[in-house]
Amino acid sequence: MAALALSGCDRPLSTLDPAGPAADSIATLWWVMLAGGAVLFLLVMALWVLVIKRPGWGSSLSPTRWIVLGGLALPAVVLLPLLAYALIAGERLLPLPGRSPLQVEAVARQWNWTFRYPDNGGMATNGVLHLPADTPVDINVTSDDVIHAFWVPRLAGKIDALPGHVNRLRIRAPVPGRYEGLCNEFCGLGHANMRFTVIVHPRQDYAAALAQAGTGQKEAP
Amino acid sequence: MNAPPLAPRRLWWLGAGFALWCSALVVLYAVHAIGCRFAWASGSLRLTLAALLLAHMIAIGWLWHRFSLAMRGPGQTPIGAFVHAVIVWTLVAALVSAIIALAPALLLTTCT
Repeated sequence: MAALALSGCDRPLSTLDPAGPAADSIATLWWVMLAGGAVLFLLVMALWVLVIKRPGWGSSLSPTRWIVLGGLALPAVVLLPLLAYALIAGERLLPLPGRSPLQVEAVARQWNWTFRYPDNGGMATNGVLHLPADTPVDINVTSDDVIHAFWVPRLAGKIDALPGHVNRLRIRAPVPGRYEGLCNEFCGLGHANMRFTVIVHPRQDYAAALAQAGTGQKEAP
Repeated sequence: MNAPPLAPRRLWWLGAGFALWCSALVVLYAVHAIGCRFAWASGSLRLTLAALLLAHMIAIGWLWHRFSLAMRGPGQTPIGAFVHAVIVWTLVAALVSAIIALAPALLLTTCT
């Protein structure tokens, strides 16, 4: 049963198979939270077994003390460090100003994705996002109709695509290859098929590959 | 017919602490979004958010103080005393969870 469940962790959309620093940070957070949850679960189970096996065990503590220690102190010891870790990890994922990485615009509409490359002459591609390897890229995400969400699970966290608003997500993909992305916010009947491919090219090949991919799709400014 | 052991309207106070908690969450989110949208200076936005959170914490703390003092009064029915104790502990829980859930975010980057 565990093998069957874990087989879902090694697919193109698995967050547990990260291929970039942002996704790696999120996956680490997931494992840390799993460990914290497991510690709490095992502590509660150990107390439960003790109470069942040794009737009267723990009766020397008053009910109030049980509530304070078991209901407040025990979760606090596990959850507060997890909260601090999650806040620090989230802060490190932010696309902070100071550098001006490559810009790519991702525009969602029912039910496909268009990617524009203002740093490459306004080139545009449909359904395929081209990125250079090992280079920070800011994806400026927006929508032409309803709310969608941009998500490439193996590279970064997800971010909403809102009509009339631009959200920014910073991605760095160290290794060239193909990755899968999808819309992660229910957006209508075609939501389940609103996927896209991310092709990460070696840095020196990026401009040529993008020019070739965008042939015939260049948009008017 | 006997009088009820507890005035029904007193039950509303059970929700007072977490109603203020919800208000703090909504107000902080809204002001944060407005401040970032209109490019307020990071320092003044952070101070405004801290002041709003503090105002909510003072309101919850004041209710806690008020109910704690009233608890010492004589003449309460057992049900009234129980509800009173629950109100006080709900206010304590709301105050502590407001600090844990909302205050750390004030230390993070305000807008990107």
